[in-house]
Amino acid sequence: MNKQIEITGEDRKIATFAALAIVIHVLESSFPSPVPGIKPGLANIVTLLVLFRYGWRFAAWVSLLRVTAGSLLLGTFMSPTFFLSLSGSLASLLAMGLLWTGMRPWVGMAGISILASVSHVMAQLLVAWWLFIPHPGILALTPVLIAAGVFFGLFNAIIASSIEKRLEITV
Amino acid sequence: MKPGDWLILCLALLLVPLSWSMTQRNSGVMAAIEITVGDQPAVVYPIKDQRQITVAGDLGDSVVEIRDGRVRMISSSCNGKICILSGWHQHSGDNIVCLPNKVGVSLISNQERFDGINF
Amino acid sequence: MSCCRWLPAVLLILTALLTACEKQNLHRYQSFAFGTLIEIKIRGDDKSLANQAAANLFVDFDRRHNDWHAWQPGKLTQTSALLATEEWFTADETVLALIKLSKQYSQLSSGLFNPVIGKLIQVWGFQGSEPLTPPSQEIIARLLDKLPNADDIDIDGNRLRGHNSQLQLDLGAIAKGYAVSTGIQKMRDLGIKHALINAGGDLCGIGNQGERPWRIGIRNPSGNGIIASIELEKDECVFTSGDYERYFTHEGKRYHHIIDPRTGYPADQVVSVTVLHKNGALADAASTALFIAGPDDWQPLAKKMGVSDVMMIDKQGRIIMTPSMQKRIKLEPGNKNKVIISKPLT
Repeated sequence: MNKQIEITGEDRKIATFAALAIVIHVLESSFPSPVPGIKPGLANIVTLLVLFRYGWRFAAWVSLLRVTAGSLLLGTFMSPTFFLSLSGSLASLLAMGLLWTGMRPWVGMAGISILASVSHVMAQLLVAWWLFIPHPGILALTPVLIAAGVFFGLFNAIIASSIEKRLEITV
Repeated sequence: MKPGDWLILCLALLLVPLSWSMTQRNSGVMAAIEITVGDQPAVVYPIKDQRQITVAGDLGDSVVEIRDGRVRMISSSCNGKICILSGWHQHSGDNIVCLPNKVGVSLISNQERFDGINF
Repeated sequence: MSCCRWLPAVLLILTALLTACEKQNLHRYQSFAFGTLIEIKIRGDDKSLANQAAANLFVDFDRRHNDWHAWQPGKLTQTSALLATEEWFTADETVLALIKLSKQYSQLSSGLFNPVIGKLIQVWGFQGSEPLTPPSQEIIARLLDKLPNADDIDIDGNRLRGHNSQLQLDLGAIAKGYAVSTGIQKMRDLGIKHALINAGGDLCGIGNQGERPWRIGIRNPSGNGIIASIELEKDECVFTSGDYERYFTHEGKRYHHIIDPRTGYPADQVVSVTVLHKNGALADAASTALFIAGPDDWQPLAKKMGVSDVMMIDKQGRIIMTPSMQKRIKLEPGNKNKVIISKPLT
């Protein structure tokens, strides 16, 4: 049995960016958030950069690796938090994919980031409400979470685009 | 920012007041609280009580206190304790939620507690 | 475009997520009729059927409100005029059934529910805008002298004849009950299994809310919130007569609209009576009759009228109820009123 697993350059890139995203994610988790469930999601900056530089598939890998490894590191793997995080990431990836493949001439980082962020938040809300607490209190959080999603989506996009201009990547 | 970006920004911003009005519930005088644990049906407690109610959630117990027409979470088996930090609540439509423990407390008016009022 | 491959899947997921929100099959309607707010709740997947049923009901209520109006010119006032002539006439079918039922209940209530004392109710001002003063004793005495009762109406098929020139129909104590009861029956006939019709506080329900029975709160007559609650099992109605519904105050004393036909004055021993029964018209008439009967005499009357679930709150604030009502009613915690359970009405 002489099958060799080749580690391609692509793999290396994905691994590097995923590692970066994981570090940011873990660091961010150590900061308390004033409002329940609201985090800037700074790791998404990495996802955005990867999306624009290497395409959707890359971004999907980086994002899902970040969610999985991040939760393993934080000890939340398979917990409700993990599933919420996962569903949010899947939804935002879907949104990013739609825009990326269908509407690229008309949208830039800002639009994709905002839509991804709002989708992430909405999916988490719905999953929390549907699977965990079917309580109207959850739905009442919607306007706040959407507003935060828009704000941080824009925020992350601004950071990502200013980094992108200056970044030279050698992997 | 491209035109599509502006469009998305505007639509997303519109969602905020829209979701606000859609999730607004009748505010009225708080008359009772509904406690939900996980996906079990809610249990209603009238507000005239002065009592503490202990419910068992996923991680452990959460204790709700009703006193003088107000409600608060006194203790809960979660890490963030945000539900406790939110303090006393007294307006119908308010909610106290301990997400990790899957416990929700909803303050409701008589209109929401009952399907009809007879007088 | 490659995005179009995903679109159906995405839309499907989104739709599934959205339809998980809120109770999709509970429909609410509101309108005004019978001089009050009518609220209808229908539970069912067929929304257009619910819409249709509610619309029909509001039209019916409006029509009945006009036909049975005690003082505005209409079918009822015409019938009263014809009764006063003391000659045989053919009654209009819109009022005939209700008059027959009223006579029956009046007899069962030993005349305490009296559907023909319109003139007495009129002098108290409860027809139209309330006056500020009670009528004089002379006027009341004069009316009591020849006070008509339901026996003064002869019924032969669809023909009626009155035996008292003072006959004036006022069906306020039974009209709403009859209308709500027949209304809910019509819903059943349309195939609706779960509905709640609330006409200004008096209500009938069929089926249930979905996750639980229809839950009804009974308002505290003193005005402070809810005094008790009840869950409707099977199909039933809850009707309450209270001294707080229509009244005026004169020189510090309250005069309300439930007139005792024996004295000509508002019955004054009781603050409210709540009756639970399958038959809304009966519950309505009984709550009035028992209110007038008072804490000392209501029991034989309840038995005669065939109602066994009764809760009465007297002027001292005592809550008196039948044992079978005690099984159904849940008093609010912190209740400070004295509770008396009567003997069973055997």
